[in-house]
Amino acid sequence: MKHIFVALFILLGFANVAHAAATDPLKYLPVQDGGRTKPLETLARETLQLVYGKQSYRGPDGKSRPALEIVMTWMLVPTYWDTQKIVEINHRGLKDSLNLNHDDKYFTPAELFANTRLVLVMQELASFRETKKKLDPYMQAAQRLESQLATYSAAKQGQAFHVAPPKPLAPAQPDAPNPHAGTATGAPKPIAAGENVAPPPTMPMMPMMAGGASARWLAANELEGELKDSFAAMARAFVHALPSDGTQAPATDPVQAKADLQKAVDDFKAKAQAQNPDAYPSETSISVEVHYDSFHPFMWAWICYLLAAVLIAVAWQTSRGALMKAGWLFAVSAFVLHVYGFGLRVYLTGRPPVSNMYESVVWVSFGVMVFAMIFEILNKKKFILLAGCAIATLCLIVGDLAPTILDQSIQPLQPVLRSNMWLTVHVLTITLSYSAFFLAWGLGNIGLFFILRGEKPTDERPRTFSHSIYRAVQVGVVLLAAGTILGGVWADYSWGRFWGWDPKETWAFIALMGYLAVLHARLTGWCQNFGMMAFAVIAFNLVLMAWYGVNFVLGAGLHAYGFGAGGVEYVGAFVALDLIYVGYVTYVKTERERLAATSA
Amino acid sequence: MAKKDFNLLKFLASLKLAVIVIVALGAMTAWGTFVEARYNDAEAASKIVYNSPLMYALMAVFAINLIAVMVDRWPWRERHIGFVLAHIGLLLLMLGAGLTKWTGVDGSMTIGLGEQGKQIIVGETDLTLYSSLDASRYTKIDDREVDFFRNPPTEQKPYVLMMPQGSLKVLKYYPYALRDQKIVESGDEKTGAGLRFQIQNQFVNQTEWLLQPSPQRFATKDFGPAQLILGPADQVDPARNSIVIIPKSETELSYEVHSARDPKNVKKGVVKAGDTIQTGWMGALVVRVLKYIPHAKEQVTFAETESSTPLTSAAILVEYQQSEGAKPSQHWIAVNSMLKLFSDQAVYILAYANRRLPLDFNIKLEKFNVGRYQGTMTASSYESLVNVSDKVGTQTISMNEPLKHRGFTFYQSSFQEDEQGRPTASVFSVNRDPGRWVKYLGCLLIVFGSIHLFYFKRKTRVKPSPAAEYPVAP
Repeated sequence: MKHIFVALFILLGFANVAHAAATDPLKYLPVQDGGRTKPLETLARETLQLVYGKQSYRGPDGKSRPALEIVMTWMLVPTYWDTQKIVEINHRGLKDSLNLNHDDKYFTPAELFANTRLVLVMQELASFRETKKKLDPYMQAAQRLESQLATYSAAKQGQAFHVAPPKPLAPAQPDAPNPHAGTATGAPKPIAAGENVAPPPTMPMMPMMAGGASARWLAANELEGELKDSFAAMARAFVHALPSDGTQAPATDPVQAKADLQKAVDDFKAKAQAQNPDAYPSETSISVEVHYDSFHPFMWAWICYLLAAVLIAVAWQTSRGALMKAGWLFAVSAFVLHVYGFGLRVYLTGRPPVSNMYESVVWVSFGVMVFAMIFEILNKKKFILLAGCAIATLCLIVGDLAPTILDQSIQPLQPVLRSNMWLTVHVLTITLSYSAFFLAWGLGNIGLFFILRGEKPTDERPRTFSHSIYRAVQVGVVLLAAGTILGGVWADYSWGRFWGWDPKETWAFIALMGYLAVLHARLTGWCQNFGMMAFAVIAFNLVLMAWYGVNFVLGAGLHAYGFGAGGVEYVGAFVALDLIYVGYVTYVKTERERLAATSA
Repeated sequence: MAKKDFNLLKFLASLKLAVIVIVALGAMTAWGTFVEARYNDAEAASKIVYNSPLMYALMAVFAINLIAVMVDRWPWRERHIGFVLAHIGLLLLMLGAGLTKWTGVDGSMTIGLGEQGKQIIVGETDLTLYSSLDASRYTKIDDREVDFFRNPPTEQKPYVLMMPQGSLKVLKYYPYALRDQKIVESGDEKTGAGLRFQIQNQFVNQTEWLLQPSPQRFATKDFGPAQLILGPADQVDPARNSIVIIPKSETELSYEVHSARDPKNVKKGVVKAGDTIQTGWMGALVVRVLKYIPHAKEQVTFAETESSTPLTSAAILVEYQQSEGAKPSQHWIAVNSMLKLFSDQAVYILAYANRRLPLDFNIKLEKFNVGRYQGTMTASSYESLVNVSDKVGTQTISMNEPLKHRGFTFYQSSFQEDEQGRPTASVFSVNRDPGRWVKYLGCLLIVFGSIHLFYFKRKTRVKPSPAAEYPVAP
């Protein structure tokens, strides 16, 4: 038992040591981006994710380099990066439009900016936007390219790095007319009068943006005086701290370079904070976010869940108690990491962690584990915990593997969702019901496997499976009914409409109907042990539709703030394979029963 | 006979019927979500699916099934508590939904900053006809509710409106249509000129139409510090750069260029289509005359689109015939707009609009506050400060915090802003819902009922009854 603990801690400890680098102090520099303050590390990761599609860069030499190094050197050594293949384009049609080679995935900024077709594609995008229609995948790819190039250019010129809050203005009259705004309400865009007058700014200056806590921070290229010098000194220290490429001896000792950089960063932070102490984030929140980014608790959680699932599976088949205990240990460790990750995220966002698809995937897997552990303790069947760990592994791996579909970044919330009480109660209840159905799905799939292996639905094992599924479905139905109703009450309270047949609520209703049909069919005798297992798998597709399909397939309705794109082919293939599996098992079982009946 | 009735109750109360109805409800509403996605319009799904006769019929069967099964289980015992509560809850929920649907009000209200709101706009559409003999006092002569979405008129079966003289027919209805506006030759001496022009300097390159309402009046196009005037302007603001263009003949226009910097120096000349006017100001701004129509009118047409976008609206094509034998004229009207029609004796106004329900109190929007996420234009919160005419003090309506007044509830829905990002109007949804508490009671019963149902089962299921598991294979 002790060995396992030791192994676990060595594993976790390794994670932190592995990434220690001389450039680390710069990770903690607060920047303003996307409506909040965050560490430079987070901004660099998100930027590289957008442009390159990954959070680390693998150069021509085959070495993997962290996002911070890459994105900062875009600004510091732009001429080098212009000719490196760092812009990811996946859409084949877009590559066709740009006359790019199909087989390539990455392109250099220089070749894209020089591409004569790029202007045409961007015009196409602009005129498509004017129709206000939903963007199709091609247009989405064009839009991504537009923001990739804009982000790259902004990073190159230092505009992407909003590093210091502006000095607060003298308290202005709140009702005073805004001197920066146009002359009259709804006036058309003015023509610049004469050459010495700058064209109108594209982003108007809002009163609250000129000072105060929500003001736009100064970008690296807008700094003046002391701040500018301090930033330059910090950039120099950063360059010194960069790891050498191996061809020449390092200019400075890494430990010294790190200390120098730390000093330079501290100096800049002190100066930036002095500009407007109220607007500057706390050291703790920045450190927590850097830790959250680099430690990645959910990755360690799925590794532990996976180990737990393997151990429990072996323990179940071989009936070894020690292995089951080890399985439990890993499952609980994974769960602790899972909760720890949540804790960090809730601390950073200040809201329940269910405001986008990624968070809901992580949360649902958490719920699955809660139910699996409770059911396991009550029933001691082993396979319940196995199903829970397997599903949690699946969810967290999907969350890690598909960052373009399940956006991991922390984004500002729509005004209507900024009600923690309602968001917590409604969404958490609904997603917990998804967890219960997910567990029933996992149990169904495992149970069908035993039918496939020749067990009769009336045998002991399928009966216990069927019974556990029945319990999970019951819990799910109560939670889904309550959650849907709570959603109605929230909608009634906030919009004055209890039920509006919005696709999201309609699909929650359909899923509820589906499981109610299963529960009632069980009473009629239509749905026995085998039926429970098969329907637990089939009916889960309704949950998938409510959870994923409405946002990603249907893409309509009031819940538009959760909408995204992509992954339909993977989810579709997964669902199809699962249904084929159910169909095959049904076929095998019916054939077997037919043979038994004729031979008897 | 008695035996047959008994069987009917058994059938209506059967679990098998329940399963069928539940599956049918799920399938039906699933279809609804695809209809909504197809048209990108919740209203379409509501009319085609959720409020269709088929859906109502299904609901009725569901209700009958729920009642029948409770009758069938009579007399109820303790183990029936959960089952009865859940089923009564469902019936109450349906009853409450019906009350909301048939007796409630669900509409919206848009109030400009500093303005008063007096009426609620609801989903129903009306066709209203007004007539006037002197073009100033109008009397309503016809007012009827129309639902062209459900009953679209066609050229073969038009929707006919009776008039004192002449006739009015609705020939076409497009649920989603894009407005297309053209300036064409009117062939009428009483109409003004139309001018298509381009303005260009190093910052701007814009092509626009200007239409003079009549030969005696003028039309203006503003470009920030400059303006272009078509027609005889009474006075030109000396503080602004102005170009005044006046139709001279069938092909020529005379122009005057006024400079704000040098008001006394007025440049004059004559142009025709294809010529340019050098202004000499604002980065050597050039005005090019692209097309000149001496007598022009605006022609509005609508093109049908497959689905709804923020730019589309519903539109109808109306045919008006002044009197029998007269040449009919055709006009497009978008929803929430009106059309003026002339006969020899009278002027008519035909309005096609969402119904407006007057309130017996006013709401004035005093102030609108938008909070933004730092460094962005993304709204983080918004709230309206309003004064209600028969309530003392300023009220705040914000997201998740509505205002209740005299049976109506006002919810912050969204807002409109100008190009500078300053709010200009606040949009509220307004409703009155007499079914609310019935629905809430129903929900409560459903939740408690189902918890009891499953909890009770758990207690009895410690020893499963032999009947609970059927033998699967013989």
